[in-house]
Amino acid sequence: MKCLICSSSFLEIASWRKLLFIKSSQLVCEKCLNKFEKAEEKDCRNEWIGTHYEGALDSVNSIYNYNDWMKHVYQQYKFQLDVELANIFTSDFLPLLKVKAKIVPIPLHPDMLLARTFSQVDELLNAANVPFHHVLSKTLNHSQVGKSKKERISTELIFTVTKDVQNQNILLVDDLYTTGTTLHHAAYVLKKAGANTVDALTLIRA
Amino acid sequence: MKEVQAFLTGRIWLKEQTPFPLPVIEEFIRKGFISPHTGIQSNQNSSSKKTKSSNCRRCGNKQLTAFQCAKCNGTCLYCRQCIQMGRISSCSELITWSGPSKVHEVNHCFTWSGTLTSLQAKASNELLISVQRNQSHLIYAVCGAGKTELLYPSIFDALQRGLRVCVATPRTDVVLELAPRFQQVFPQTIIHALYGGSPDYSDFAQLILATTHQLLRFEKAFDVVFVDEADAFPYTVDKSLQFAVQKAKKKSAAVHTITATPSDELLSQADNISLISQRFHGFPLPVPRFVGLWNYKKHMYKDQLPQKLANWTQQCLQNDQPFLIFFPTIDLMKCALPLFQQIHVDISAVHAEDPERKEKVLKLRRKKVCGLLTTTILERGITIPNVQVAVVGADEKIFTSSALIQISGRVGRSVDFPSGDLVFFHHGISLEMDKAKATIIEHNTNREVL
Repeated sequence: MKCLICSSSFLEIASWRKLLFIKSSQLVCEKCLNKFEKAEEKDCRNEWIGTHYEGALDSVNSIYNYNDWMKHVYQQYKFQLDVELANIFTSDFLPLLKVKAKIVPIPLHPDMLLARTFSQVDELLNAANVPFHHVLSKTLNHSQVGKSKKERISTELIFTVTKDVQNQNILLVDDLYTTGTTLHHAAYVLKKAGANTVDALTLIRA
Repeated sequence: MKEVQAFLTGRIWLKEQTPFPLPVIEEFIRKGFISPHTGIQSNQNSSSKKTKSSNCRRCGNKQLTAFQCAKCNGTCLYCRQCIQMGRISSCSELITWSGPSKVHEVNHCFTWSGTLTSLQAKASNELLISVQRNQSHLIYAVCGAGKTELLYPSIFDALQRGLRVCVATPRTDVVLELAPRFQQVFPQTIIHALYGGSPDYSDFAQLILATTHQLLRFEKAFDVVFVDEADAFPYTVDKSLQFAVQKAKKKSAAVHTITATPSDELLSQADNISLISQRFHGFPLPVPRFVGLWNYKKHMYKDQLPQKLANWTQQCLQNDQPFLIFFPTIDLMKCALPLFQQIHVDISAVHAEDPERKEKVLKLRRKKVCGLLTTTILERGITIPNVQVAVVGADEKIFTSSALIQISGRVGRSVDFPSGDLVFFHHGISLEMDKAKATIIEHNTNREVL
């Protein structure tokens, strides 16, 4: 096999599970794999206490830390547009197949989607064959980058709800949790539209 | 128009990534001065084959990745091989200049005060004749022969004739080292030095120094191409780099190569060959001595530094001589580093991914550190006065005869210290070790005949 990240050749460890197609074949070499760092459980919603977004988001979980290695790989995926790298994280999203809640990816603004040619969140879910529904639409095409936390918290609403979510349980999926603005805004409008619970999962926590 | 012409002449570029606004580019396309090309070409030449093969227009790669593209609402292919230069997919466009051709201002000056040895001068003249006749020429010159200088007359001649010249090399270090030297020798010439992460240039240069990788961004640009260190990794194994050189030159342009360790292929490809068996300072090449270091791996992984190696290191320290110790793998080197640091705390290690690689070599040159452990990345291009060299596990596969000859070439490069110790520690002598030693001895014999 050739590693998807460093393109060096590597030998896969043979196993019955692989032979019987229970486990999919390995795409990344051990060396590259070991540089990823799993995120520890931590509630980072505290910063939103006291704002009117408090309580909108019922929980947030993240899979990886945003270490230098992840920055490098993720930049290659999202900004160098290396779509195939979505497959690296397939096993991380497989558990979502058992989730009963409605899986809702954070959408890109339509202009951004055209420019990027793919949605980085949708592709992560597609790679793991996880079904999802788009019930949100992004109305503002502003980047969060470079804004202070205060600015981020107080920005006008960035999403509208486009489908019925009355009494539904929602699991939001996004790529990065930085300050939590995106997810809190999304959860806020979903709750307003009648959603019962809104939890969130992100690939990375910065 | 002049600016766009200057930028695009000889280049092949993603339409969205030029230094000019998109409407300007569109206008030139309408006028027929810029040709657009689809990023991914499909070859339907042979009707017998039902599967149509596609390739990347920039790097030639045929193993493309399919994805659902939101821009064109269908399946697109993209190229992962040259993605670092901006992704090329089925719906991206590359552009080349097809307007009036650029007239070069021939205003070059050659200010080099050094002199060539008679051997250098002979090879230099032979190369010049080949360049003028547009025949491919191989300069086969031992490490430390002074290869760069003997290119100057040929380059100057070509520049003055209004030709566009490229000196390419597989290695970034070489580009970085050559750039200031060339700028000094050709002070009035605009020179671009291109490597991964180099500054963006938007003007035109008649002389370009580039890694072979960067040549992917050129098409039919050069009248004369020199490939320095033409047998170095990854040029020999990476087909796309050889493709890059072929694509970047004009069809009829000859490719000249320069190396101390030519492969049989290089030797057979060249129309003409000049051989220099002697170093510029006239002293013989240091000959390696073989020392058995049995089970060195086992010892090192058990946190024991083999005594012979420890003694060798201590000897260098006592004599106040800088040293380089080559390792076959990063793993083994990292395992051995703390053992060496017990001998002296300042000993450090470098490898390809080391961000401080340049600084560490500089420290060794300035005698700020006493010695470095390294992988084969330092086999070429570095000169450290009075350096002593050891290879650990010289029988390992990675140490080919060329690698060993290049490593040996680090010793005795300066006139003040024309010799030094050169040891191949091994766990059994390999054919490649024998070949390397025999080649070095052969060069020395040739030298005596002269």
